[in-house]
Amino acid sequence: MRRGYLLNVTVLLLIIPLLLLAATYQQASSYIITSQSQRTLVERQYFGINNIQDDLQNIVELSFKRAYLTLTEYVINNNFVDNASLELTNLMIEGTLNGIPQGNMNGITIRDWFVTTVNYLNSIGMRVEPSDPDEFVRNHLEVTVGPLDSFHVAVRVKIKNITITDGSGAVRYSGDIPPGDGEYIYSIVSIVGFEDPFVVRELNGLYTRVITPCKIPFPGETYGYYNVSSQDDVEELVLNWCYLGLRDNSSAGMYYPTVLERFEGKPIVSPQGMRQHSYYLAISREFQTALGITNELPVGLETFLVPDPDTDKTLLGALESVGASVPDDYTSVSYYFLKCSVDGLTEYCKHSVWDGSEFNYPTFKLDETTKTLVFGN
Amino acid sequence: MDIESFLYTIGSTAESAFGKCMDTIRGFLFPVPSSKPPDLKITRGVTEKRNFTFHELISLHLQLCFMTYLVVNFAVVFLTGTPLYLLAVSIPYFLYLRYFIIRYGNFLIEEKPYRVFYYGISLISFLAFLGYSLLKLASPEIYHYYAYVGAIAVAVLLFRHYFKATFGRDYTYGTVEEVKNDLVRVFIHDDMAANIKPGFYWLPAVEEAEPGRVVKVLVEDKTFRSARPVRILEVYLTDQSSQSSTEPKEETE
Repeated sequence: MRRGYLLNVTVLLLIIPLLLLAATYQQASSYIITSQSQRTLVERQYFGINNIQDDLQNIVELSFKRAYLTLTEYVINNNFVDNASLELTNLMIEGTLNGIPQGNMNGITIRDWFVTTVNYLNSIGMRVEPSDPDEFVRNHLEVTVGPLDSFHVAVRVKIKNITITDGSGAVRYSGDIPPGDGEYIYSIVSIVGFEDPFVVRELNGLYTRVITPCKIPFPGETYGYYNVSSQDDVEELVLNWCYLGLRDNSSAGMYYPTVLERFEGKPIVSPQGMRQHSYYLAISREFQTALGITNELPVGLETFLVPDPDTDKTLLGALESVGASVPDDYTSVSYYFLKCSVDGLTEYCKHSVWDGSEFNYPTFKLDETTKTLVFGN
Repeated sequence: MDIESFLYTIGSTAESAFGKCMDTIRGFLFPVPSSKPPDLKITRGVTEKRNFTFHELISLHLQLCFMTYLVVNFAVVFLTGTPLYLLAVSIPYFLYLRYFIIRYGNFLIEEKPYRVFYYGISLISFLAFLGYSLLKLASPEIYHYYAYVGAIAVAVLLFRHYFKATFGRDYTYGTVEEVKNDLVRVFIHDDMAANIKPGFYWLPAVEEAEPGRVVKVLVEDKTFRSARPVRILEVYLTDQSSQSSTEPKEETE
């Protein structure tokens, strides 16, 4: 029977904050709209798995080049490394060589990139799983370094099973980068213009050669052979100190080291050397297939050492100062020549079947297999 | 028609209209308590029932004015958000409130709680909306708005606490309407101090409770709701009743 038209004191009072709360609806909705459109914008501009992939591609390129340089420097100044592809991988990921951090790699390792990327994604409200760089490197990163062909090294990188969630917990991306089975990020570095670590190291830094391809970098059916009776062609090989890409001839027992083996200096025909060599060959075939190189390119990298004081003034002196002498019978293929003369391994002193005395270069000697590879039959 | 007398009529009408106008303004700005109850057609029109006491009518009118003020404030804040508009709405409102309370406050049974309450609550809402519109000008993060609203809610509850502590009582007065066996039907007025709604309540009977007699009623407070009358404390005999103004029919006749 009460007359309900009058409100009581408390209700009357509480109407004030309730009305104010209702008034915030406008602000709240405009806030929501603004932040939503902002987030969309942020996502469109800054987040996209493609952007992350591009970024990764960039850091892989940078870091791979720097790692290659660092390794060259290290081998020239210190010693051969046991496993060049492993060391390059470690340099790229952690920035360490033989377990020692290298200042050259500061800030451009993949680990650094990951830390930066996680921080950045966090700053725009994204969460990454895994977020711990150790965990990421251990279980979610695959990096393989190997020779691509005689004049290129390549790296392939894949981030496995990564999950990116946004602020509301919705999964924005889950899976591999780049997505898809068997998809990788590749980076290729040309080794042209770098010093050849093998020659420098073997001759204790007294003699050096820079890797430059010869006129016909891959002599063979496809690109043609050098002319055995041409003065110009022989001089190209003797005087230009250039490099050739050569294919192994296993039946003849001639194996030409890849560029990575030139960092290792291992006896190539030893069991350990062969295992490493065939691994590099297999990797390079994989790389070539994946990158669409249809006619398989050779991987071996060689140059010719001609111990003649008229054509090469420093080589003899360098040999002498490391206590080596020019053997009686040898092949000018640098790997075999140095293994034979400097390291004194007689199985590398190949019997020469041809020399350049016809063109006044009697010390330019070639074994049978190499002669066939360079000049054809 | 004589043009002279016509002009004279116009002149005298204008003069008296001006005088009336000035009187109205003076009356509005410097109100004096009125001996005549207010008319309040609109407020009367809000409800169907016509047999309101003046006390109820004035209380309802104050409440409706305040609600209108709130709604207008809300509209201003929501649509424009300019503090100047709020001032433009509030100054006339406060003048009218002051005018109305001074002029007709004596028709309320107990004036002071109503006066304090409506002045207080109007001031709080004015400041709250003014602050809100200023906050809107600064356009901060949304969380600041919620913090502000929370602060206002706290201020409002503090005011309620103050009001209750100062004017609150646990009894009110009513008039016995009907006696039935062990129950009496009591008419109770809108009483802000006791926070009770007007209406007819059945209460346990006491001796001497006869229709027309004024009684003192114990009320039980309920949080966030109106208080409920519980039982009759005291019965004032007709001849000694000084609370006859609570008798509704006297004033509504």
